[in-house]
Amino acid sequence: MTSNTCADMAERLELYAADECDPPDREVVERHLDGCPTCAAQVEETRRLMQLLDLRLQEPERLLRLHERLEAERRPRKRAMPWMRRLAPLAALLLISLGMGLFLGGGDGGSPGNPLTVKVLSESRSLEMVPGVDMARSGPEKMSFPLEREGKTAKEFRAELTVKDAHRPSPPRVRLVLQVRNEGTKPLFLDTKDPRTELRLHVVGPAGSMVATPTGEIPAALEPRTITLAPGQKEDFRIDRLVTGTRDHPQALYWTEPGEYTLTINLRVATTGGRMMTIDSGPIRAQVQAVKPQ
Amino acid sequence: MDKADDDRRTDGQLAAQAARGDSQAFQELTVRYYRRVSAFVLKRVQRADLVEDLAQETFLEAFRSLRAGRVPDNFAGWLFTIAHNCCGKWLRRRKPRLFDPDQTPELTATEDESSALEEAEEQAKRMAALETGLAGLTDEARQLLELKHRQGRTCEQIAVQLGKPIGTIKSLLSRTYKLLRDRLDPGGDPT
Repeated sequence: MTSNTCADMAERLELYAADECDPPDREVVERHLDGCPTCAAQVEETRRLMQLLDLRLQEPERLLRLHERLEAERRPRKRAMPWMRRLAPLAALLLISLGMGLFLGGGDGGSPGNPLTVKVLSESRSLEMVPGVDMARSGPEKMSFPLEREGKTAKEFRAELTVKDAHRPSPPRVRLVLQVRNEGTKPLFLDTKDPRTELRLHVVGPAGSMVATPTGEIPAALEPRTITLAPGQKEDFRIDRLVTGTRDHPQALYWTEPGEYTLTINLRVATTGGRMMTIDSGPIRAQVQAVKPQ
Repeated sequence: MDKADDDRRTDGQLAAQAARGDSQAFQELTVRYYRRVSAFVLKRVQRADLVEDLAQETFLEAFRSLRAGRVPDNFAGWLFTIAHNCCGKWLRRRKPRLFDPDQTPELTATEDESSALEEAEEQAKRMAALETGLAGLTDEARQLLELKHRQGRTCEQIAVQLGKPIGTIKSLLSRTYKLLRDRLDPGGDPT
């Protein structure tokens, strides 16, 4: 009976919302939540409460950082000497390169003991000239992708996407690799078996569509596996097509016009203790070019 | 100018003084409004990890604008409009311009000063309810929340630090959340 089950859940719901449930309990709660909107709403409400608590309890430090920023804003800037101005572009390039050793943990847990390097690599030929370079942050290079409209006009292509069967065109190929390297001193555990694992692709550009995946394919990056990254070790998460979402709810993204797009990749994955962390690629500039049909 | 004087000055007076270069005056405004602006931003973007950056951007923009000589008639309304615009900029930048092929993409409606202020007031009420809830907690529960939400510790780490069984910590955490949640949403389902 639902009511009994809800009563059984009482204490576990709060802990589930806080990512503090033991794995067996978590599974029980998730099964219950699938069929109980009341408890699901309660979990959401607890998560909103937790966000307010973060905001309220971290306020002193945040306010201090704001005051430091304001102080820096108030200070008059020194005029750069001519030689410094000449070196400025080089210095900027160096800073960007150093900035690659960056951990972007997101607001939902993170893993403060494990700083990560996040790189986005591409298998496309035009990018092989600069192997191993973080394309997202390291310079003017832009990734380029073909716009595959199968000889159709944008209008015809968009009409194809509305077809509610498996005859829709496949989502665009991108062939990217989100490479994560553990820069910390402790092993880092990642669990993509966790059903909350989610690949979020954000695309902003001239025109696009998002529909259910035509064949229900899931992103390769979401293949269920557990990974323990020793310090210094790397792991690749492959993104072959523009498919976003979770294993249960994959969505296909399509760019439908040529032009410049910005692509951001977020991989939300469980780590030690069932906590969720977000690996963020930063914005990637993508040039989408029309190609002639074969 | 001492603290008591700060407390007596209206927002308008502080804004005018900040515009004349009084850095303490602007600092006082940040203390008055930081929590409300943060709560407003959270409501708008629904991403806790962005709140600090967007709140900071809001105050920096307000600060620059005051220094450029713009003194608003209604400081609160003006500040929340800046916050609204900062969130809008982020949402436009991050939100994929993707839409159902059958539908024309919708443009985000622009909001005026008063609606931003109304939304901010609604969130301020939630923050005030949270504050009341926090004030009613035991010292033990408050310490637990500080360790979890301010220092980012897990229950396991907290249990080790406090020398208590993890089950006790989890149970207290669960009860505390429930209590605060009921405080925020008194009419909610008591399940």
